[in-house]
Amino acid sequence: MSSDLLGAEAAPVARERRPTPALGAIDLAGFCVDGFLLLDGAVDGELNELALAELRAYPGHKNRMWAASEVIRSVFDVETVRGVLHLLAGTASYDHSSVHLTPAGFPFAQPWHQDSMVEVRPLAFDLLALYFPADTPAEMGPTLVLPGSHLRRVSNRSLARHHSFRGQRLLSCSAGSVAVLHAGLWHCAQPNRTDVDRYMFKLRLRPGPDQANAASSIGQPTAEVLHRFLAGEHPWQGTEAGVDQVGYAALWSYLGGSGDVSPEGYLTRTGLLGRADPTGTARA
Amino acid sequence: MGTDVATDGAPQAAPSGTGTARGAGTERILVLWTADASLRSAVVSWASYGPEDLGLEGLTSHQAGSTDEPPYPSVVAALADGWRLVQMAAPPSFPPGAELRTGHLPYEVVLTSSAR
Repeated sequence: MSSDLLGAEAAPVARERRPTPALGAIDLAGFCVDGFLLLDGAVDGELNELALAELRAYPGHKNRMWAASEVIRSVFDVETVRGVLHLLAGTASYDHSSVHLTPAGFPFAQPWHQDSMVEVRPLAFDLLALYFPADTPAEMGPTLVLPGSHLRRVSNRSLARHHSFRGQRLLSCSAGSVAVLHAGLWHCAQPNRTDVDRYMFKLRLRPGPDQANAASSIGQPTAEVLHRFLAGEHPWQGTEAGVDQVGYAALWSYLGGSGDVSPEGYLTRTGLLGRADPTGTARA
Repeated sequence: MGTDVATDGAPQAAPSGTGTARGAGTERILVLWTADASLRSAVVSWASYGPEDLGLEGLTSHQAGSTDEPPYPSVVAALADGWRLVQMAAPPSFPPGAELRTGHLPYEVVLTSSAR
């Protein structure tokens, strides 16, 4: 992680040693198809207690806690978490971070949105790592996501007219969970119907130049992996599901996955397999 | 907790607290997104807006993620229940070079009713 982006006072997350890959091919396929992975309980209890105490007591600006808290930074240096982030973003650098609080009893949902402005990179993407230090059941307002929406080109709240989708999914999770999201994933925070404040710490990472092929160690797609892609329709997609599936296959190829996992061998028969811009984003 | 730590669920606009829009408005808007261009195809996303959204109860019962199942299985089913068609989106176009680019859900249908 680049210390120049963090500021002099902030220690970088260790990137000197290559982390142990924590994902198998089926997990990578799941990320390509769904746009996220939920590492349930990836951080141990003692660290969660320390982090939650610091979050509750933190007096500063929501975007400054990363630099101020060694405990928070250490969460993202847990071997499993670090390994997943490296596999999906390569030698990543810090973009920004934020403390997210949904107070006890807060009745409002965020509008559906995609973080930041419309994506222009054909396949490269930022990562969002959402850390939940405490058990976050459905009634506490975990993040709501739309699986498979990550490659849709929208701009921040340009999708805010929607209220609900078939297939929307709450990221309910246990303490110490980290949800790793493709930054294009449509999502929104939910109401907190409990009497306990709900905390989440969000870290956004920019990919390194080695994001392309970062997961090349995954190897050939197994029958299970192929099935994950070819059965990778989501209930909200309707007739556009096939086009999204071609994008998921292109993402797999970009990250270093072998073979053509697109429906009907679409990428191969159209000559797009391995192209830097297979879905035409840069040309559009 | 420091006051700079923002909540992540702030409403887009604060409710007025009265629950009515200029006194007499009763029109409700239903937006349905369908699986394909047919009005008989399955509803895959939905939203509902109306004057009661200016009150807390209305706003919180019609917001992001508030229901998991659509109010109607299809646009035709909504029409059969008395909703009136206001607008439906033109089919998407596929410009050369961007045939595989996806974005917003394309099959949006807007309906209205003054009796709900």
